[in-house]
Amino acid sequence: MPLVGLISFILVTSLFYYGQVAVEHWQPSLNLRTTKLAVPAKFDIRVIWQFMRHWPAQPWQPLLVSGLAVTLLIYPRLLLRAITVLVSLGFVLVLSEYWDKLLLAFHRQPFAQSDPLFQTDIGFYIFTLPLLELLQFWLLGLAVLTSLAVSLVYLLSADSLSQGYFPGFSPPQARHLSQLGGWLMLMIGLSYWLDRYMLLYSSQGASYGASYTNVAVELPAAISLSLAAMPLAVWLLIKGISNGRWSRWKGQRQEKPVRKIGEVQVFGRPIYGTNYRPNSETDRGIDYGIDYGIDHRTDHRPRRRPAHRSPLLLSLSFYGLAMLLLNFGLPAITQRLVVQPNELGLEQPYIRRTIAWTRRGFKLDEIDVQTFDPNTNLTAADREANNLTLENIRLWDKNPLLVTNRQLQRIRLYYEFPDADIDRYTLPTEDGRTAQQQVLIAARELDYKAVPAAAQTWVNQHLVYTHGYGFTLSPVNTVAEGGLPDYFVRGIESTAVDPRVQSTIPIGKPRIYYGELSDTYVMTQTRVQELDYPSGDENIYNTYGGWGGVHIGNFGQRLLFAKHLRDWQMLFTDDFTPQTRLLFRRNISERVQTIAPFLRYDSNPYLVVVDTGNKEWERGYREPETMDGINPEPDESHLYWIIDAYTTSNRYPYSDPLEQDFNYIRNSVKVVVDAYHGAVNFYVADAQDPIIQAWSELFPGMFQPLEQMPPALQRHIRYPEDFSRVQSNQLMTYHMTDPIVFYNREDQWRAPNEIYGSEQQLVEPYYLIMKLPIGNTEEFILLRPFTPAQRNNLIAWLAARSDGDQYGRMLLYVFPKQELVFGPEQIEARINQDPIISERISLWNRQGSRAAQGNLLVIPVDQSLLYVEPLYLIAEQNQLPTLVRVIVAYGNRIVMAETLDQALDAIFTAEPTTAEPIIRTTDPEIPID
Amino acid sequence: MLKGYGVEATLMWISKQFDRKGITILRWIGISLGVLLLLDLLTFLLAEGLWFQAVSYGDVFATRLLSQGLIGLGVFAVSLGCLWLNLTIAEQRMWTHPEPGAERMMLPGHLRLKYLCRSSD
Repeated sequence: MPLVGLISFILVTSLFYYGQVAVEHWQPSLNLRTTKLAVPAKFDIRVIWQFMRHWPAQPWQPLLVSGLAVTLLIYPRLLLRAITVLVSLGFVLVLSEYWDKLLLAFHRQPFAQSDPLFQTDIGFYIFTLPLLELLQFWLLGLAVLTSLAVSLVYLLSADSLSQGYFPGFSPPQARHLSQLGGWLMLMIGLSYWLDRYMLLYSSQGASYGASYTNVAVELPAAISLSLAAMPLAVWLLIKGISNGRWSRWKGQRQEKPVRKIGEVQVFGRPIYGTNYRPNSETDRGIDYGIDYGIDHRTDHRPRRRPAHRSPLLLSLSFYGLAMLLLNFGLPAITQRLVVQPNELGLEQPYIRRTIAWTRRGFKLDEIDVQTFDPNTNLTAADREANNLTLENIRLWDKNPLLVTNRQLQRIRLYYEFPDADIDRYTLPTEDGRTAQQQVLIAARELDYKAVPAAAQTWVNQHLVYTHGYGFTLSPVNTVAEGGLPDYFVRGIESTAVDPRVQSTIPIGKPRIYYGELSDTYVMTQTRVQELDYPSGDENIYNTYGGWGGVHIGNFGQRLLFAKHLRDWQMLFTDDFTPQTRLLFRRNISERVQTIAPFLRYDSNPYLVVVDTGNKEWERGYREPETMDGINPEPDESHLYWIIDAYTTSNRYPYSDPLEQDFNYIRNSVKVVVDAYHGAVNFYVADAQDPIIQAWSELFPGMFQPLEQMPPALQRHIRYPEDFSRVQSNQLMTYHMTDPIVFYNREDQWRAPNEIYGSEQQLVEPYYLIMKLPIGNTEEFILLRPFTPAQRNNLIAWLAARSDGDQYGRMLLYVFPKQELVFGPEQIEARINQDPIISERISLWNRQGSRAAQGNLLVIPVDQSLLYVEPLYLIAEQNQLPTLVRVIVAYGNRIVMAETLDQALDAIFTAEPTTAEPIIRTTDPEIPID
Repeated sequence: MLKGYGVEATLMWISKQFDRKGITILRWIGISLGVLLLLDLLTFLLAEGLWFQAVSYGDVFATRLLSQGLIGLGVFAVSLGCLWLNLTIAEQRMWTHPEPGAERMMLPGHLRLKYLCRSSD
């Protein structure tokens, strides 16, 4: 009874586990979530333990498990057959999701680097190991489930629960169980062989990866258990297939066990006088080639060794004990008694490995580290020399700009600005030269949900409201009248305000059919005119002339897509023409994820407006079609989305993922999506990455070299924010290359905090146009400052470069330890402590409005640091933020002025003044009567 | 084989009722469901295939489908084959009651009665 209960329990637990994995992988779409899901762990005792640990929090689970276990005992045959089908389907569901791992394993690329423990090329870990893990998950699970199910059938078959007595296993049953046991042991042995590699990802010990205990105890243990499992597996398999011959050969010198017909010798326990016998089909033993060793002539008791003295069972028991001891006991004892008292000495070589390999996994090893010794000697001449940097200081971030855009540039309620992105454009200057200008660009997309409910008809949804129109382009550093954001390009027709911009930025017809917000499917080139944009009191209409979408001109195609989209109105509309196209999957993130689900994508696609000349470079380019004998209008679409994509892995040896679910990442791909035609092009941004090399080999022609990207677009590629955030998060710990310093976490960094609005938030990486100390000209930089973990002063800043040949290079400027450089928190504190500034802020906060602090930017200028923070005033009624002051801090001076120029003038020209002493006479003492 | 009480017996009874009337409704329902599922799958594949062709990444879709299909078929065949075959073998080799016609199923009523009897002994 306890054995039956235990088997039933383990069977149900394993079903729960596999069911859970299957549910996690259930996704009825073409996206691939497995880029974010690790290969599921094999089913073993740890899984059961993990499962049971959740029981106190989720008491319904043990009840459900018990209920199912009992039901399984009541209806074993029916449920086991059902389980067979469900488990098989579950395996299909899970494993077919990992098609990318299978393909990658067959297109393995060398990394030309070997891991320090097994001296195996990293390519094995990145490409082959995930497939082996999947096979382990599947085959071990299959072996466990089969063994449990078959054991349960045999144990229950003798009516044992009802009788309260189990007669034992018959020889055919025993042979069957031996065979299954042999396969299970083989799987266990192979699984331990694979587990050796898993030590490279151990989170135990002083550092990530295989540390002292892993290498000294767990590795030999895994090898021993793996090797010991093999002879046991062979032994069991031979016993299972020997058909009695082996035992006869072995028992030459022994008296052969003989019985009467109808009496059964059971495994280890002969029974007489019971009413049970093997199934009538098998009792003769002949049908299956089974010889029970029954002798018809004599009748005396067989001589068999009792079960507890069987060498096989003893070996298996010993193996089970060794598993427990080597997996759990010995490592814990070694860690506690050997390693912990001598941790630094023993772990040092392994810490060194973790540091080196984590830095490689996140590409931190290529960061150029420089010392930045700041001073406060900037003069007016320096200001002139750094004019471009100072002119590009960002006073607007996307939040106030989006609020303003939504109020002033929306034009109609059904338009929306989902995001604003930082970029740079080269514009002519007043003196006839050109200079880079940092801007915020925001696309005006169509938000169908905002169309008035009464107008939300099928025709409007799918034929009329098809696209957004236009964008706004704002310089980040200037302020329009009334403290509002300035615009280079504004209005529904995206008119260029400045003639310099008119000649440089190709506005054309900025129709946005594919965007961040678009999620409806639309039919174009129908008899119904599409709303192009509102102009005054009238609407301008248009017909899509791009090559995007699928033809649904004939009835068959219409029927197909009506079924696929479950939209039967498509079949009955009279508005379709033979040229009608269906544009679906218009959301750019969904679009690229569907095409290449094996890549990870940056969370922030950005819009670029450039004229690339003709569009023959775009994938799927087609000549514009002539409609009704009318030549198509010239292609004036110049809007593109750029999305950064990454190749990742969680199997880079010794690389610490920290809070990430991957420990290797490369920004290997840039994706360009045409906002009008929907064409998608993939460009390889990091050709050295073996993972993208493998995908390029798998899909020849899919990934183009970055050099083939039109130069106009190349000028707008930027170091991605998400990548920089991941790298800088790692760098806060893994800048420490000395194992002793690392062990003591003596020099842990963190991202500083700033006050934004009135809330505290982390300083995220931000873009700047500035001249690096090692650079000759101003360039587009992504910068992030760091402070020590326990203090608020600035310790370093990381710069990632984006322009031209310098793209992708990173520089880390570290301040000398003896220098105390103000960090953002200290500057914020000084700003808020300043009596004049705080008084002014308090005053604004009392007058039906509130003052909101913008991003505090730390801007390196030559060998100095300038701190700039815009201050917005937000009226409680209309929430429109206006820039009222700019606060600049430099050295010991803090200046608040109406404009940045005034603040800089004050910083660079005014002599520091000391506040006049406040002299007050105190009241004469009042005598107390 | 299927005597006694429980789900199996109920299913058998329902099946017999249908058989008696000569109506193989269950079979027709099964076939209809299968056809619907197949149709759903076909339209999905065809529509998505056309979309992938329109964006010029038809080869990516084809490679993906082929690999997923092969994995699915292989895994299903091996998993189902292994589990089903072993259960079939086990059911052939399991203990049964010796007297033909006296074979009993492990059914809830039976289980309960047996235990009641044992406890009352």
